[in-house]
Amino acid sequence: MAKFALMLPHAPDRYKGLSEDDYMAVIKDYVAWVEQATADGVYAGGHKLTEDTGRVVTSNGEKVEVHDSPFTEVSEILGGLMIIEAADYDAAVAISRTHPHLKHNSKIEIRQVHEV
Amino acid sequence: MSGEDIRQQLDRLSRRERGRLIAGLVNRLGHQHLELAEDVAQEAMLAALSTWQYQGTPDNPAAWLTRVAHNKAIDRLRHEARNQRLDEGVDIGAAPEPEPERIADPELRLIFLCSNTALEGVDRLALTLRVVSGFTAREIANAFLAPETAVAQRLSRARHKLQRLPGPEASPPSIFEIERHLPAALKVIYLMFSLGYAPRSGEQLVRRDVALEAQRLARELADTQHTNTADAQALAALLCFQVSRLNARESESGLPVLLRNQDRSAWDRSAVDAGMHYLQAARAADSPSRYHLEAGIASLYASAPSWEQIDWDAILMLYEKLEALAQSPVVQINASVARAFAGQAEAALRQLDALADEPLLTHYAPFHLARAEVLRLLGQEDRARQQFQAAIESGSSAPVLQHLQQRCLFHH
Repeated sequence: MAKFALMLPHAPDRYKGLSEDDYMAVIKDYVAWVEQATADGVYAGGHKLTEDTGRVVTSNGEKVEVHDSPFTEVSEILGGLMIIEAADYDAAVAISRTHPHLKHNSKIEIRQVHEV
Repeated sequence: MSGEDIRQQLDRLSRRERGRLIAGLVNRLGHQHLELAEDVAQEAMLAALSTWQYQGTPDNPAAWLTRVAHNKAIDRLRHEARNQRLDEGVDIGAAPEPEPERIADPELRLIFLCSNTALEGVDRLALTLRVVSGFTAREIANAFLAPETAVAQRLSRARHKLQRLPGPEASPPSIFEIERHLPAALKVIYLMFSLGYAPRSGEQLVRRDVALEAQRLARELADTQHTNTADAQALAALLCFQVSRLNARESESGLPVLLRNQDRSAWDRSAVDAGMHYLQAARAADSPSRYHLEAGIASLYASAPSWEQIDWDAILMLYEKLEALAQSPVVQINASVARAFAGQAEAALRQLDALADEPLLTHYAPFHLARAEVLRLLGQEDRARQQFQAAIESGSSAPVLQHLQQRCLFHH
């Protein structure tokens, strides 16, 4: 079994102004999916990322600079990532088709985890 | 298990845990902190789900939630104390010393708090659904068929009224006063069940959960020392009998199935058995309550081997007592149907005709259906068809139905 990272981006203001009940209804769908994937033996963990501006550290070869991430200018931010186990990309895609992220947002990026 | 099942389980877990957290916090902090307890429980649920969203549900979600809620409550109280320049060192500490003469279980104490007669009847029901049973304002609005904002306002008013009650008026009843406090609590549970069981439009799953939750609370009272009065047993019996038919009374396409057409093998036998057990225990009553009579009727339906073998005379006898006790047109409608099946169809029709002037019944589908049934028994097929038509036309008027139900239930 190979591991695949599901990266879950959303619009920066996706959850702003949402009532607690609405927000809870959304994340319950995610919890339920993770429960199901765990029961199916394909879930291998994940992390939610905080919804702050983050930091970008750059170097021009001489000097290291730190910036706030330019959130207002980007169309999406990474909300979190999940790791699943699947035989290949086709299988990973099949597992992802039922992901609630596609219902509540619009895109999942799948990348295989490099393992030797 | 399907994703939908998991989602439903998660909803139920969230509600149960929210109710449990609020009960524990109110128990420690006092009823004047009800709102804080609700806020903290909500925050803890939100924190929990945000984490579980990526890491999966922990083995012991209850312990996780209790710890988070406890910490959040301490933070809130310290913050408030600082704002009021009170001493530091706020601690919500251990649960209060148990008082042997008072109801001890936090959840039961909360049921009594929410059914406090200082509140209006509808507010008691809404607040119990919210605080004891953990339903969200949206879910309650769904069950009430009311706008969510109206429900939220109602809840907020009721909560503030309760919080301002002086301690003695809001404290849980002593075991010597149970008989005085229990009727209001039982009525809230009875109404909760009616709300969930009524075959109306709206969010079906939520309604089903409301009905099951009412059954759970009734059994809780019936199973606990001091609250296990004959009336509590009778209510638990009634709700068990009704729950036993939850699956059979709805077709696969979601349409109601009449009792005579129900697949009896789909009845939940364990619920019927539990109902019989509670009914047995309820016999200690001095005089039968409404719950006794309704449970008795339900038990006769449940114990008949087939529709043809239903003991209509026994059912009618109980209905006649219920009519005298309840004075409600809804009861009269049901009684008239039993009367007709017990061989007194003409008397039943006279009774229904006499109700025809009741303006609220004009749009009450069960009234027209009952009339249609009785007319059909009398062979008056043309008039029966008219009544079926009237029933269909009034079928969508859920608000009228609700109004009628509340009117009948709150003033008997």
